[in-house]
Amino acid sequence: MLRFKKLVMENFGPYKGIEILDFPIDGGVVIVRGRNGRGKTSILSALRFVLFGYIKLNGKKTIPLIDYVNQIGADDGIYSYKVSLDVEMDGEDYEITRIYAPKSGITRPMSERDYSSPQLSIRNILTGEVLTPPSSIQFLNQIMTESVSRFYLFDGELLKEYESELSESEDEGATQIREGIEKILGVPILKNTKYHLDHCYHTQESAYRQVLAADKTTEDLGNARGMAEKRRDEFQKDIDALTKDFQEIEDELREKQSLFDKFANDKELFNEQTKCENALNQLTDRLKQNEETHKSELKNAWKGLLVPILLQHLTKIDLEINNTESKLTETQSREKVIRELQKSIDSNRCEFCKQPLDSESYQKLSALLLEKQNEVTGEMGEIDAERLQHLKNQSSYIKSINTDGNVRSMITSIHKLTSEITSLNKSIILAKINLSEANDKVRASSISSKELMQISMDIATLKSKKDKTKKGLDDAKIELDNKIKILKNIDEKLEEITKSGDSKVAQRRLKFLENFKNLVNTSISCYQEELRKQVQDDATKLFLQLSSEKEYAGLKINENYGLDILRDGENKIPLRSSGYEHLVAFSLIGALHMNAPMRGPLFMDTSFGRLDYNNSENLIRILPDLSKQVIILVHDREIDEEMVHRLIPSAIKARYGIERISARESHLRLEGGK
Amino acid sequence: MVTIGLTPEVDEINKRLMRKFGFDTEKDMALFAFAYAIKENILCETVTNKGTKWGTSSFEDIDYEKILQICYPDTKMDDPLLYFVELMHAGIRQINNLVSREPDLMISDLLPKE
Repeated sequence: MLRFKKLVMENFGPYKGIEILDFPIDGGVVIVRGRNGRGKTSILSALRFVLFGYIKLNGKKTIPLIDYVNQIGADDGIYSYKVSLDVEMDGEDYEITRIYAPKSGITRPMSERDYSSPQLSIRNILTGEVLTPPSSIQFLNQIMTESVSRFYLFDGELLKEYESELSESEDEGATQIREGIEKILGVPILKNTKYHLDHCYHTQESAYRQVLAADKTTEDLGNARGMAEKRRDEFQKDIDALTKDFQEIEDELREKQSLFDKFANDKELFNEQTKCENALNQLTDRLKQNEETHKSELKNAWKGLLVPILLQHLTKIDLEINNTESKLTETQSREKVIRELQKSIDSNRCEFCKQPLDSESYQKLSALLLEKQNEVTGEMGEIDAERLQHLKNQSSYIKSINTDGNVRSMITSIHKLTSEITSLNKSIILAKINLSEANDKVRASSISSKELMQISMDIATLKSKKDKTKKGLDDAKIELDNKIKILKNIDEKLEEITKSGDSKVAQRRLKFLENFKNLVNTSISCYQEELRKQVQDDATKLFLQLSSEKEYAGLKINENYGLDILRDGENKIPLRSSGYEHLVAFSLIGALHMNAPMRGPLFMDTSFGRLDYNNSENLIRILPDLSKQVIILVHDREIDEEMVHRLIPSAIKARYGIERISARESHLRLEGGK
Repeated sequence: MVTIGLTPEVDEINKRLMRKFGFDTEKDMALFAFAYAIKENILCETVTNKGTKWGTSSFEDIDYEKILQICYPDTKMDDPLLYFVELMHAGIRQINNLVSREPDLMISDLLPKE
């Protein structure tokens, strides 16, 4: 019988200084009441810390121990904490203490790396004897291992989790839970009996071999038997070694997985860091690309400034070109007329009508020629052909640097790129801040990315190793069966030729031991079956007391101690509500405690949350039956205290309240005892 | 080979502006400044060469002489190359003044709006 007597927490979680939770000597039900965030779960965590040296929430996620350093204490420079648990084990009192403190020389620890491993010490309170480290571990394994703790110290989430794991028969978690349950129920003791019988059988085989060798009629078969035994033993040895390897691999795998889960938050940090790095790299690459394009576009930025000015000049230039060219045409036509007039005067014959000129016409043409000559040199002015060409060159140059609106699209591109570069630079600043924050968090984490990667690789290697070992084990089992068959054949032949004397006696003894071994094996199966049935019956009784649904007829247990609700006879309820998942889990826990050779205390944290009024009432009614010592951690609205006093008035032995001192500090107060 | 250049002081400013606005080369920045000076209608009274930073062949992609003739039709230029250099200096100084007043000035602010 295990009983908790006193829990002392010092600077643990929200509890600054020393807080004591005394458990009444006569067991019963203790209620610890507190609002959300006040420190109910921290009490459960303190128990897990002192018993196992680590803290898992919801059965899986390992919480960094540094998270439980009391924050107010840390502000005052106290970075360590201590939890002590006084227990009574088979009539003797022990004090189990575990301390979590920074490594020597570290005055201000920043991460778990700055802390030593939790220091465990166990003392016999009466004799004062302090247990050696190996004895301490053995003692803790005796009172409660982590694998069975879920049936003693649990919260609502754990209840739900293990109910679902038990329904998955092939799940690794289910195997662990089944083994945990069998440990509580005492199956390993029977299994040890089997191992002793195996030893006896081998001793007798040796004696039988000697007797067979002494008789000429049995000597050859005796030798053959000896050889077959040797081969069988070799395979058995292989199987034992492989089984041991398999278990070690499984243990190591579980440990690595647990370590990996413990650093799940750090993994998130590394992922976040990689995400930030990638985001920054992407932005930097985009910025680089944009800057390159921007630089290339800026090579022609001068055109963007000049083209509008040049276009204004182009209008004037083209106008001047047009005017000059018109003037040139006009001048050329007038010069033609002058040439014709001059020709007519010179030849005294009209070039237009081809008639000889008389004196009057001659005079008129001479006057007209003079007038036209004056017009060309006066009104039309002089035409500068060189300037015209010059203007034309200017015009075509302007047009050449502004072909098809390329300058406009270049300006648009520069505006767009400038805006994108500005925005990318802002994003890069933010990305750098994010990365810097992520880097800070990673620096503060208790494991490096490389170490976590190594754990992940170790897990993959171990899984592969586990599969190979399993295959080797299966093959060896087939071979072992073959060798046993050979032995049986030899034994049948020996039985035929052995008529009397020592050989017959040895043969009978061996046969007896073999039958005994088979009997024990069958007994173990029967016992397991019987236990399952007993657990099923007790769980059904509890479930029917707990359930307010009249149609539910009982529970049916499976190989893994998972329980199905039956509606009538054999019909299972396919889907169960969360509330009923909890009721089933409570029923199983109650039944396990009823059937366990070693009974212990039951700690329940916020376990009423999913239950309705009627089911809560039913659970309260059976609380005293679940275990001799029941401690319930509840929040104000979870259960009605008046209801508890009405339903189980004599079972309530103490009431504690958790008071708020500040957001980071709570205090345990004894509110009443019976 | 004919060479042109900037005074050490303007050369420094030009380098700074080049980095600020993201030009690829100092020549690209100086060309932009030359265009900016024309846009601002800057006239230069005296012109002198300031250094030997670039060979004139570096400016093959711009016919500065023609541009000067178009934009300054009434200005007599004995040596358009020197006028080109003078306008570069004027443009660099002008842009630098703007940046001094508005440090967040971007290249987009100097270009025509879309």
